Amino acid sequence: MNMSTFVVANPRKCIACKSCEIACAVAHLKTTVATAGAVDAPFQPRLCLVQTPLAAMPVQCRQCEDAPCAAICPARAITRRDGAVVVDTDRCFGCKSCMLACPFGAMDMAAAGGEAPDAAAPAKARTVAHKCDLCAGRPGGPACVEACPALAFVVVRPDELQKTVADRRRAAAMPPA
Amino acid sequence: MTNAILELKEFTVRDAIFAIGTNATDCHPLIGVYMLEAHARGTKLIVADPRRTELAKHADIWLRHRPGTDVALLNGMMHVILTESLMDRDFIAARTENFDALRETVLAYPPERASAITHVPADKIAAAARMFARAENAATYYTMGITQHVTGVDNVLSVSNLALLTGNLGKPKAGVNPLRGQNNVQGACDMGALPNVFPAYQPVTDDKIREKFEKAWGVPLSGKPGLTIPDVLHGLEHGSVKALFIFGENPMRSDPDINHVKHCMENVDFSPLKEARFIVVQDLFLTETAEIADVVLPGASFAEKDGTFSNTERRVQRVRQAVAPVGKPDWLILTELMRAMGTKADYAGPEAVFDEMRTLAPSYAGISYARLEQGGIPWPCPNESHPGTPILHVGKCNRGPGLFCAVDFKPPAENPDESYPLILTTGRVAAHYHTGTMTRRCWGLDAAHPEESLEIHPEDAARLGIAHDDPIRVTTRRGTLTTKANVTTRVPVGTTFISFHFSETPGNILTNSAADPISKTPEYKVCAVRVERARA
Amino acid sequence: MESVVTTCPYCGCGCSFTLNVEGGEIVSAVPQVDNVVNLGRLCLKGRFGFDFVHHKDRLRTPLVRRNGTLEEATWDEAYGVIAERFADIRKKHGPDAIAAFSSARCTNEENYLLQKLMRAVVGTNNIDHCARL
Repeated sequence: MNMSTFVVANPRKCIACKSCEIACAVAHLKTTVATAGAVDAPFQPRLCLVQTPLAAMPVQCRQCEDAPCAAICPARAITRRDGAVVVDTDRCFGCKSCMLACPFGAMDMAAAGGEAPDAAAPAKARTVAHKCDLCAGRPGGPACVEACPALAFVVVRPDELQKTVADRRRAAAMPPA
Repeated sequence: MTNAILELKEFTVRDAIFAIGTNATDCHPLIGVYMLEAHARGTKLIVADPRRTELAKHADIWLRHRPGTDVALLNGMMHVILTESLMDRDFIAARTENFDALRETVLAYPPERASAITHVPADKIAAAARMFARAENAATYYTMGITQHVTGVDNVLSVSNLALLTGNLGKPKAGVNPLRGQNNVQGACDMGALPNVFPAYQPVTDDKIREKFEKAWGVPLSGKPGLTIPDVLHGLEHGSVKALFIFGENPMRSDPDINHVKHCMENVDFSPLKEARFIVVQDLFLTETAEIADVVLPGASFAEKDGTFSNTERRVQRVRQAVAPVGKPDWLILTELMRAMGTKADYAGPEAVFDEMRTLAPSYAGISYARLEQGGIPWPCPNESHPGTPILHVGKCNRGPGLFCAVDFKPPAENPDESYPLILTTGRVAAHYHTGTMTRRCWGLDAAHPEESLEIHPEDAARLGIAHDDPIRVTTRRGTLTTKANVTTRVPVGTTFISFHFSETPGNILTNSAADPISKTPEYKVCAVRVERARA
Repeated sequence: MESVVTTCPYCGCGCSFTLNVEGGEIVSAVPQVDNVVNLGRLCLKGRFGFDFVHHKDRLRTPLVRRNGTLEEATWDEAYGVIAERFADIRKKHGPDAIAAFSSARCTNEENYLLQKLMRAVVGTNNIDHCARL
C-alpha cells in the first residue's frame, strides 16, 4: 500500500492566530517579504484558518489517495507527484470543477504568478487552481508546521499513521482492566 | 509579573491557572499557548472574560462576566473561599495584615449577589472559587481587562487579595501576573518614564533620592511630581502646557476619545498672547500624531539599534542592531538634542547609558551588557554576583506584610441607556499591534487581518436588522465610525467589541476617557454604544 | 547572509529571535531555541512582523513646520528649533509648561535618556508613557 503524506492540525491546540496562513503565503513567495509588501503582492495562502465561536482549525488538502479534484479535472492538470496531489498551473484553465469536488473545501483559485510579484509588470492574472503542495522542495518541510506557535500541526506520514492505527487496535482489543 | 513565564511549563494536575481579563492567545500568544499546554496536561484552567476567547473555549470553568464587574466577581469568589474555610490560614497569619477588613467587605458578596451584578451563575462563581483555592498552586494572570476601568486599581487589588487569601504569593506557579502589552512597557516604567519616580521607582519627592540624582547629573532637580498623560492633554487644552515631546507614541490613535485628543493637541492657546503650542514627534512613520507636530524627528526601529528591553517578567534582554538605521538610532538623537540644549551628554553608546543608569537604579545595579551575553536577567539584581530574581515576595513581601485592601464594587463610568443601548469593549487582534504603525506595514500581517469589524451577538444583530458583513455605523457620545458587522457569539448579548489598530476606522474615536482616579488609566473596556445598519 | 540575535519588538513576552539579513534587508526571523521565554517558537508578529523596517514610508529626514506645512530640514535645524522653542517656553512659563510622552516601544537606554533630558535639562518631572493606558 502506498499512502500519501499529509498535514493536519489539531483544533485542541490551535489558537486561531493565522501564523500558518502567513507562513504558507511567505513560503511560496518567489521574492522577499519586504519586496512583496513594496509591490503589494497578492496574499495567497494554500490553507485557510477556520474560526468559529466553538473551535478553530486550519483546513488544508489531505492529499487524498483517490483525489476527487484530480478525478474531475477535465484538463488532467491535477496529478499525484511524490505522494502529493499537485496542480500543473500551465494546464489548468480555471474551470473550478476541483473546488466543487473537494469535500474539505481545500481547493482554491488564485492568480497565477502572484507569488512572483513584479512591480514593473503586474501579473495579467490567469486564475488557476491553488492548493497545499506540502511545501515540496522546502528544506524545513511544510512552512505551516514550522511556524505554528501552538505546535498544532502534524505531518502524518504513512508509517506513523500505520503505527497509530496498530496501537489503537491493540488498545481496542485489550481494554485496560 | 511576580513570577516567571516558563513556570507555565511546570504546572501539573494539582495546579490552577486563573486568566482574568486577558486574551492571552491573541495578545501574548506564547504565554497563551503555554497556558493551553498546561491545561492539556491536566492543569485546571479558569477563565474570566466577557468574550469567548480561545482560552475561554478551552477553560474548565468560564466565567462570562459583564464588562466592568471584576470586583464583584472576585469578591464573590472570596466569599465562597471564606465561608467554606478554603483560605490559607497560616499564610494569612504569617504574611499579611488587614484581613479583618477584607473579611467584612467580602462577606457582603455572597455568590448570589455577585451573580446579580456579574450575570455569572452563582454556582459557577462558587465552583471557580473552590477550584482556585483547592489547587496546590494557583497563579492569576491578567491584562488590560483588569486595568482599563475606572476601577482598575480596585480590580488589581482584588486580584492581589485573592492571591494573599489563598497563599499564592512568593512561590513558584503562583502570584499576581500582569502580562504587559508592549515589548518595553516594563522597562519604560523601570527607567523612570513616569511623573512621580526616578529610575527604579525612587520617588522624586524624596529629598535623599533627589540629592543622589542631583549629584550624579550635576544639576538641581524638581521635587514636584509631574503630569500624567491625561493631565498633559488637559494642560494643552487649557494652556498650562505649551510644549510636548512625543517619543514613539501615537496618542491620536491610542488614547481614548481621540476627537478630544485632537482638540487638545491642535488647540491654539486661549490666552491673549495667542501663543501656539509646540509639539515634537519622534517616530518611524508620519503617524496621525506626527502630522500635527511642529518638528518631526525620524526614529529608528528595534532592528536598527543596540540596547535592552525588559519583558513582562522583568527580564532584561539585549536588543542588537541588525541593519543600518534609516536615520539615526534614537539614543543618539536624544544625546544630540541634549547637547543642542546646552547640556553635556557624551555617551560612547547605549552601554555607557546603561552603565550610568545602573549606578543610580539599585534593582538594575548588577546587570551589565557583558552578563546579558549569557542571557536575560530578571531584576531585582543588586550586584554582579546576584543571579536575578525570577519570583518576587519570597518569604516576605517587599513592603513587609502583604496588605489586604478591601474594595467594594463600583459600576463603570458609562452604562447602556436608551440612546446608547449596547456595551462596547475594546482590545487587540493577534495580527496587529497597537495603532498598527508597524504591523499594518507588514505584508503578511496586514494581509491576514486587513480590516476592522465590530463583533456583535446574533440576537442584537437580528433586532437591528444587521447581517454578517453588513456595513454598520457605530456611535458613542464621543464619535462615530463605519465598519463591518462580525455577527458572532464570541461576544455576549448586549456587548460589542472593536479593536484600535485601524487608522481608517479608529476604535478610540468611540472610547471613554473617564479614568481610574489613582492610576489615571482610562476605561477603554466599557462604554455605551449605538449600532445601526449603514447605507451601503 | 548575516545573522543577529535580538529581542522581539511587539508584546511583553520578550521572545528572542535571529534576524537574517541579506544585502542590508531583513529576510527572515527565526526563533531562538536556547532561551527562557520562547523555546524555539514565535508568534505571527514575531515571525512575520519585521518588514515595516524597510517600508517606503519610513521617515528619513527631520521635518520642521514652516508656514503651516512640514518641510524637510537638517538635523541641526530641527534640534535648533526644538532647543530654541523649549528655552523660550521655559523662560516665559517655567519648565512645567513642557512635557514628554516616552515610549514603551523604545529601549531602556532611550527611556533613561528622555527622562534625564526632561528632569535634568528641561527641569520638570512631566514625563509619562503609555503604561498608564
